[in-house]
Amino acid sequence: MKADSSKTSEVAALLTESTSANITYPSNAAAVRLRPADTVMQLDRLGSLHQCRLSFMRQMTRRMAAERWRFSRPEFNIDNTGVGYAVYTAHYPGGEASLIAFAHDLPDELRSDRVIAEQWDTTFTLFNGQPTKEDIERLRKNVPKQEAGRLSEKELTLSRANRSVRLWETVVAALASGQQPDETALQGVGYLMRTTAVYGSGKFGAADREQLLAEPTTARLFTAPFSVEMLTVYLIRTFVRDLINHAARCAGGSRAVTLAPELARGLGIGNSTGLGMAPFLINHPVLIHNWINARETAIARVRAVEVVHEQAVSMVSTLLKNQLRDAQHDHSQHPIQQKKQRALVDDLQRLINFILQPSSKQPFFWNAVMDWANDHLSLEGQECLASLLLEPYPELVDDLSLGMHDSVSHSQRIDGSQSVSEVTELLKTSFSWAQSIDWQSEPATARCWYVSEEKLEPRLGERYEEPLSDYEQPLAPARDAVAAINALQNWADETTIAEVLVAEPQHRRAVQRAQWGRYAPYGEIRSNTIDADMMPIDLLRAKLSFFGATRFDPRSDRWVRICLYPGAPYPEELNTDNADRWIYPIH
Amino acid sequence: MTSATSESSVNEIAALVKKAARGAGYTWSLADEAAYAVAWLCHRGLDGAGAMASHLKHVQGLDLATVRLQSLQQPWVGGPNGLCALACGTALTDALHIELRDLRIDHVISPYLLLPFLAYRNEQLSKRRMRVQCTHLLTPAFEAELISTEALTSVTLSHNSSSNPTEASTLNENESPTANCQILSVDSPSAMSEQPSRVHRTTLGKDELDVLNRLAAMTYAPATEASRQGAGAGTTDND
Repeated sequence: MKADSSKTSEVAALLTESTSANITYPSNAAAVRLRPADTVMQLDRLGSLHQCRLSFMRQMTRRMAAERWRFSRPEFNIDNTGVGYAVYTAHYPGGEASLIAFAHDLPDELRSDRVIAEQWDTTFTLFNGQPTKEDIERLRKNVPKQEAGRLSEKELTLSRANRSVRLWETVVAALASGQQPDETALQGVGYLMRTTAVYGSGKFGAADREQLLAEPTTARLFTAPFSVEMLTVYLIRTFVRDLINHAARCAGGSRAVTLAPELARGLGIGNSTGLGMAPFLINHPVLIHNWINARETAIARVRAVEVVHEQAVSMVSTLLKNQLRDAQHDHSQHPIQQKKQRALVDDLQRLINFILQPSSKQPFFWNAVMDWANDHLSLEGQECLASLLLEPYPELVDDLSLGMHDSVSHSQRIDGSQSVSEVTELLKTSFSWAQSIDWQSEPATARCWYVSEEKLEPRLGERYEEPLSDYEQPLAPARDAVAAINALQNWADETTIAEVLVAEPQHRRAVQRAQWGRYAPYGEIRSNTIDADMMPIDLLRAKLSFFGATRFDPRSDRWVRICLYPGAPYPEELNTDNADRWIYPIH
Repeated sequence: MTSATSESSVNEIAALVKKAARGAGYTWSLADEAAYAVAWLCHRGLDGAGAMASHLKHVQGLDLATVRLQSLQQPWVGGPNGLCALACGTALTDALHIELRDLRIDHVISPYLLLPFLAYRNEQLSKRRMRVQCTHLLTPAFEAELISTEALTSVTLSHNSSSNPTEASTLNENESPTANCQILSVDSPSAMSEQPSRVHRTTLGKDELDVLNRLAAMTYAPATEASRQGAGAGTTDND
């Protein structure tokens, strides 16, 4: 494949600044060309994102290893029937956080991985510090009730998990009889327990994120988005491994063996995610910009690497082969994912051949690969490649993790001095594509986001088949932006937007989002979120990929199972050598 | 508060207030502003949730178009139903470019809820000391001095009778709990006091919590066949 010299010189020539809403990155770090938001923020592309070096789980394990966190298990009071509690403490520089795990005896018929269940096999909270007996007693009365209980400002998260029916009993039986469980069966499921929710900031009385950020010690640790949730799940995974070993000992006595470390390491924590997560991306445009912008900046920096060393090509090649084997063993039963996976397998095979050609010695080789992928591969293949290309370059990528939180949007209010013409331009910057949609047509507005009275969870309904419009959640920014553009046409260009909003306050949110777009251009999804053909799992996949989730296994167009931390070292194994690329399974 | 109280995180109450404000008839955007105002007050140890519960209980059922600000032109005077503090507050921060020196807002409903917006305005524009004087009609009168969004130097609530008995005597209990609000800039720059630490917990009486929960519930759609099918898991979701 011959390099396109015009493109490479363009990259070399461009020196632009990249900003998250929090931080301006120095322009001399690398020549940077970012992919445009109109490309990146299409929903089908967001629904093809893969984890990368910047994913929150990987940030967490790197940090724990670099700072030499110590872990202890001060209590493990689980009886022979599997009922009791345990405490796992993470000792970080300057403080501690403890997972308090409650294990229950749940009849099989009550086990459900729906968020709306009322009983679970295990329930958890992450405690700020080390709990006293009184704390544990208080939490024993509340954590098992989950949403119906109350937490205090000492607690940081609330979570629960159920056993995998496919694996739990057979693994216990094998270990109890002195045998290791079947590795293929373990890999087929990927986890022994599956969480159905991990609630954070302020939920059900827990500490607000702002409270953590007000304390220097916890602020340093937990500024990264979802870091308390990521720590919670990491410790849950350790507890689950210990619990199954305990169950095997109780069942098998002296015959029992513990789960072999290499088998345990391959297991993650499952997670089932439905529509409850979907509105997040739309409701947090500045935060989402910072996530996407960090990844896009990283991609651009790598594309701007002029001399690509052989070791880097070799590493990417190895990871591509690794991903190919993983994709070939994909376990999803769902046609949506099967189709995407087939395309990915084909893409990865082509990429491996492309990368191994002699052209890798050309300047700006990664840029040429990305351009080729853009022209020849599916979105899955393009985004898998983009993530993998970051792996050889921690020095170009990892500092970007510092800008992925949102520290500004809560204090950014509408600038009412902008004129109608200025605001119209801003609206069009994010939503000019939406002006060609016929918003009067039923297919364009077929869906309606709402919260159901019965379950108190976000749902997606059919607007023209059910009486839902009065309850609609504000999750159609494209429709609302076009309505604002149309309304502003009735005002003189020089009128200030403050005057308009006194008369037409219904456009306030669209105006605010448009103004956020000035410093958060990746904040708006460039697809219609209420279209008849919209795929809610694309929203879920985008968010989950930034967590670092893998093994996407949709159960429908709006519900997906994933795996967190498969392959990660356990606390007693964690060190700076294994803290990072554990996410690529060894075949 | 006379009823039992419960402790909550500020974020939790702000999220509830957002839904309650929508349930009371505000647009989602104004509901966001209601949550902003309550969080601001709670972070400074003030009873934002209680003030908002009273406000929403009052405006629920009103045609909110009748309590909107009609123009940025002074004076800001409410009609028979008064002027909504959230509408005035957002206008105060939207219109930073317009000088509103010594603004008087007459007949404003729940003037206490103006404070977060006034503080923002003051911080953006001058960081000078701002004095807010609200003479009550039926609501408690108060005076507040603001320096910045972080430094609220004083809020004095008075449950005593009006400093303007004539005005108060024109009202009866069926009328709006409104006040006249005078916002005065004090010319001397303020000495910046030490930034007070924020409060992250708030207590709320059962009655106020009930009001917010009841209004929030009005945003929930009655169950349909489709919603009963859940978040998309299908018939079996256990593995």
